[in-house]
Amino acid sequence: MLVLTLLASSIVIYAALYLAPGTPLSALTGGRPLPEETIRVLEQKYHLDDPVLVGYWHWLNGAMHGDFGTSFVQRVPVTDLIAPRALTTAELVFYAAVLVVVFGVAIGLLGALRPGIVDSGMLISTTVLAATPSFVAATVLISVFSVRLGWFPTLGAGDGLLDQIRHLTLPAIALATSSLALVARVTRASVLEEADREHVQTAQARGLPRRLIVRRHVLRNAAIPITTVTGVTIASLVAAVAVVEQAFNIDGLGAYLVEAASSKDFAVVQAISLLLVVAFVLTSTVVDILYAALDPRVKLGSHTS
Amino acid sequence: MNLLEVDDLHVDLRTGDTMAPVLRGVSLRVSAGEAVGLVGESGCGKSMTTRAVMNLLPRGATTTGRVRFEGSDILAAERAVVRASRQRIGIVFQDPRAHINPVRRIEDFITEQARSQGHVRRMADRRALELLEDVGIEDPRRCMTRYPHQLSGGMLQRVMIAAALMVEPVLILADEPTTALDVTTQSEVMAILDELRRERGVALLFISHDLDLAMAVCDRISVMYAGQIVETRAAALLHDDPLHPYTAGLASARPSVAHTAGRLAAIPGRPLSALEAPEGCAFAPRCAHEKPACSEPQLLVALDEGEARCVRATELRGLLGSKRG
Repeated sequence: MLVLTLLASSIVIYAALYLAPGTPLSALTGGRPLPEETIRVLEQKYHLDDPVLVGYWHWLNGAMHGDFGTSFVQRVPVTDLIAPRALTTAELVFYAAVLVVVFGVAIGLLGALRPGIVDSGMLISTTVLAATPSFVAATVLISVFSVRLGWFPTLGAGDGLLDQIRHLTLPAIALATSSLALVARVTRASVLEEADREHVQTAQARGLPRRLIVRRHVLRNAAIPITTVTGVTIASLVAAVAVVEQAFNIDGLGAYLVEAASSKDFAVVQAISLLLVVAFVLTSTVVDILYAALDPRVKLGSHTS
Repeated sequence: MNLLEVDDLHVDLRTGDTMAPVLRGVSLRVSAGEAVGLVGESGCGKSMTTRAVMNLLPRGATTTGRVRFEGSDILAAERAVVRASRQRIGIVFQDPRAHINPVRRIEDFITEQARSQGHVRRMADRRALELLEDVGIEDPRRCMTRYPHQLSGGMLQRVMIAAALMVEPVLILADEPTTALDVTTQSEVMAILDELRRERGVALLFISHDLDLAMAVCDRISVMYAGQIVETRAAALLHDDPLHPYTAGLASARPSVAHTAGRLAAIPGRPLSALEAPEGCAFAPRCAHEKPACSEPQLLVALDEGEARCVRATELRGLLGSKRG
């Protein structure tokens, strides 16, 4: 299933090269008229004159060995270009994912277990946050915390662990905002739903302490839907990362993808797209495994996406 | 001394902006070791009565009257007292599949209550194994490691009975314990519940819509209609000598094993809820013996060691009994 998903997406990614306006060749030549000789050399070097399937095979074979070909624009191996950027992006997404899990679930629990003013406040603020696109969040965060208060740097990814955390805090918040709100709302709804179940009534009827009922029956069971939604949300962070990297001028995969796409550097676009798909699929797989571990009624293999 | 005393209990539930009555003055006693049945059609308030006994009424419910369990007023008591009382009552619900947490093992379910009271896991496990054997589970050790979805409904209900007995309760509340099971399993589960209860001298409050089943396991039965008890009588007398026309109707509406009846006698009309009940007798619109006096509010009148909420009870005595004889 996993392999099939990856194979299908790799075909789509490769085919997109042929569907995009303008040929790779015109990108390579920059539109300048070149002698036939030069064009033939270029075509050979980048496998442009091969049939589509052969080209695809070359590319896939290389990709599996970590070789994504050569950048049309910079004339260096794509792998060397994207490896350091992938690390930055991975850090950013991981940071944002931690924020989503920790604060999303915590805020959701607070709303579910403290009805009244806390719950209403949580509902209103998450509604607003869930509707906030990451570029708006980025702009607001920069103007308040970087420009006005000067607590965090505006641009770049920083060097060294502490400096990196400082640099990536605002971008991670911007990236996490709407997902965090979504996870908080789902957490609240799941906990309230589980609290109404008959087996919770049984636990109450048996005179168990409330603390125990909440932990062992309500939260334990609500963890199943919460995990599913959180996983999907985190996977979607991978797709949203480009916008945030642009806004904060972080030299990561997302920003580089946009740059490469506009300069028609197809080898780079393909490599990054494939990498993002892999990241998405891997996250979903981890969620499926967790899901099966949390719910004894689900057997692994009968439920994979 | 009475273990459980329910005195003139009224319960109103919130439906939107209005309050709807569900119980209209229910009184009930269960003494130690006694089995009491609470019988009626769905919606008559019998389940709500058990929920009041556990102080588990839905949010927004208002109550008047009293529920006393072992002397403490359950509806007014502090949370700790209520919890302590709940731990002395074993409960068996209608649908074990919904009432047992699906993601926890049977072992966890059975021993949870004992462990929360500070019992050591090993001791709790040993007792659980004994009880699982008592309720007729063949391989208790294996059963303990299973999840609810791996057991049949009948097995799960046995597990529930075993769990109810874990903390040596003085009272078992069984709310339609066999209704969700198939017929052959029903009698087995009922027999197990009845036997274990008698052995241990535990009192039983048995809720059912099935008058014959209640008569088989209970000493005394209260019949409920539209949020009120209409008759309380010794179980042995209820079938052949009912005091209330509704009880007579219930008794004859059930197929008999001994006789082949042509057509079952159904009670005409549909059951009223407490909300729709008129000021007078709630059963009058469906009753074959209705008289003008029935539109007056009816009181429970003591009659031959029983009680009936019917003005004509003395008059109709002997005319109501099962017409199959």
